[in-house]
Amino acid sequence: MSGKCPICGERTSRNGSYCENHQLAYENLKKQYQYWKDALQISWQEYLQKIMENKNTGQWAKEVAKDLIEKQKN
Amino acid sequence: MSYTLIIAEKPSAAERIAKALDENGKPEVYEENGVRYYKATRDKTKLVIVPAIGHLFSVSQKGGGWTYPVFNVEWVATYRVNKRASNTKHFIDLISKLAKDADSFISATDFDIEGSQIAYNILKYACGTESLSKAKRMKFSALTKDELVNAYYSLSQTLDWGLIEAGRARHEIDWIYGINLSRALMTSLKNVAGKYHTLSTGRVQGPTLSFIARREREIKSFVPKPYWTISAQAEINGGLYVLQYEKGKILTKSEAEKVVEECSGQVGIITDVSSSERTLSPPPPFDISSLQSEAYSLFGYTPSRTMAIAERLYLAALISYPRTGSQKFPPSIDLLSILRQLREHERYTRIVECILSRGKLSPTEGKKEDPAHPPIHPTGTLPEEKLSPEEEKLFDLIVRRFLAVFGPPSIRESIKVTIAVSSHIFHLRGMKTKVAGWQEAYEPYVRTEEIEIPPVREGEQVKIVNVNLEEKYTAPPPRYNPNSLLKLMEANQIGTKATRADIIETLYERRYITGRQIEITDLGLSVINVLSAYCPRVLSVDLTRELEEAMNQIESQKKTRQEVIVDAIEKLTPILEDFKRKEKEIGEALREALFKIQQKQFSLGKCPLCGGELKIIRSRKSRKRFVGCLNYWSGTCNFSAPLPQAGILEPTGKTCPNCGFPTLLVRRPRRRPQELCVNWQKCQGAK
Repeated sequence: MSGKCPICGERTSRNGSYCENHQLAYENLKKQYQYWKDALQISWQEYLQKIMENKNTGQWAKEVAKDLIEKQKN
Repeated sequence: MSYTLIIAEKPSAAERIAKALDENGKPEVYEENGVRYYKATRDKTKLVIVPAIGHLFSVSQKGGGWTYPVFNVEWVATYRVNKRASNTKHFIDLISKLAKDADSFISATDFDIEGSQIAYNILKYACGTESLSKAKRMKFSALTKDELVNAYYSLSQTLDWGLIEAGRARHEIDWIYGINLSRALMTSLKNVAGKYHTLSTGRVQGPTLSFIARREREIKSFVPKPYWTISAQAEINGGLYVLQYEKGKILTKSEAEKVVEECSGQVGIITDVSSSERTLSPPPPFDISSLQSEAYSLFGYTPSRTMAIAERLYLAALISYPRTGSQKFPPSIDLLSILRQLREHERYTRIVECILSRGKLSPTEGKKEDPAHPPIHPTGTLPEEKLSPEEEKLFDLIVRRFLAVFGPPSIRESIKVTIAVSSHIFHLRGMKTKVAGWQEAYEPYVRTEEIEIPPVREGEQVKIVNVNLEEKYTAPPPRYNPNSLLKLMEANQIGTKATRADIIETLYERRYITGRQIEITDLGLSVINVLSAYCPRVLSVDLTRELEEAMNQIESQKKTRQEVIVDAIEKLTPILEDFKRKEKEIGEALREALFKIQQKQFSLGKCPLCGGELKIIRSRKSRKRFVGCLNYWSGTCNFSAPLPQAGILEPTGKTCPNCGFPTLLVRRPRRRPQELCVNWQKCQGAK
């Protein structure tokens, strides 16, 4: 049984907790973290914040970053 | 009295053909129901020249019923199936009448698939089937007198059946795919939602939209990476120059900062000065795609706009036929004569004289070939009437490109100065044109940069004034624009040079895409999502390409029209059967997607007064639309404001910088979209 994406309410993808589009963005976020960590020596939290504020970040990636930040706050 | 009936593709082409073929250059002009036709005489033969206005006959469903699959097609008068083409009736009536007294026929439409198809249908359905065996073909690539008279004296004794059959197959297959897939989409939605919503897809439309959807996903899920660049300002011979650090991108901040620290305030030493020359050959002559591409990057004209302007220049006999794929001049084109005529135009005199003074004419050629037409080139005829600014620009571009292909190569010199600063290397780069060559003819459209650098020598010291560190981020892939999308379609061999620009326009008309930097709309994305989930074969580039190849084989008479159509139907049938089986799920998915789109269209964002939701609401009483806060129902907020009643309203997702209320975009026909603060009655910024 599939759930709903916490961001847009679409059905979640088979291999994640987001819908297909947001899951794709989430995978990209995970993939690029090591790059940012090496470049700036920053934590995952700081990374998400920077990604959210960056004008080149795609809309779905921003939404996922925001969701992850909020989840960690709660 | 019998005569030869000559069928032209457009009214202006008919006039040119009549004037060219009449021995005195003054054909008699007649008019019936607003359609002009001409009587001319040549070698004692009476000629009647009558125009069409593009396609007078179209593919339609044989028999009634709004269902799918439907594979029975017939050709009918266009005005019967398209209300906007009611004027085509006058053309058909006139041609039918004139055909009665004609003893022979000449197809003088454009020499390509569409042109051959237009004349074939007119002969078959307006003049009678027996006219087909009496018809000859006049082939020309420009509407100049010489070319038309030559074409008249070297008529093909039969119609061009390869092109005709390929054209018929293309129209019938496109119709079958379009109608069945669109009906399948609409039926599945209607069965679930209980009402119609216009949705469509097609053989080329689907794969093209799916390119855009794929790019949109890349952009929306894009996560940038940081990098740093370093430049330094150096004082050389009293002037300030910008040096670039040898590494274009530095991947860690600490490394970048270290370089800056080690170089700041230092003196650099020139360790090497080198130069190299590059020879730039003249560009090949224009085929239609390279013209569309150049006009887009120079003037911002969309491919369809360029095609329309080029078509007008062709009908004015100023340029050769623009729907060509050729970049090679055949020996039959009298290049010298064209150049001599262009010399009469003051603007081109000097350039032409320069070309002629070099002796033998050897134009550059590109790789592409098209046996039907030469590359786009000026005919040598100079404009009789004043051209519109856009026609003037495109004409000048075509003439200059034509002149440039005769030019000698251009030579560019690049100079690289290497400067050691501390243990790091910086470069100063200069660039200049040593020999302009062909660029002289193409000068207004050449995009090369001249970068001057001072004279320097090895061992010389330079003072580093400052060192700049810049933090940058990788960018998502660019959105397609009409030009890059057209190139992508061409690279994937989907559509034809004549249809690609129209397919892109259709996607705009269907509201599947928007903007010059093409963005897929929610509607476009929903259709693609549903199709890729339930019948991905419809979006397959391979399927479309296979059909394109098969249609090309009809043209070269390696396959028959019937074979290709049967094959296309065999490919489509399982897709439609699959669609039918999944109709309910597809309908549900479409309904859900459309509901979300509607919600999004009406939802404006947060109310700054109470934090509730602002929505576009339609009054049940007056049927007028206004904006209201949903907290009105709980009695905690009474914000409401009137909205324009005309035009389409689109939430922007932004807020007004003056009052914090959301803004929306008002789109009205023939007007620029206007951004409106929903609180416009009270907002200070709106006054």
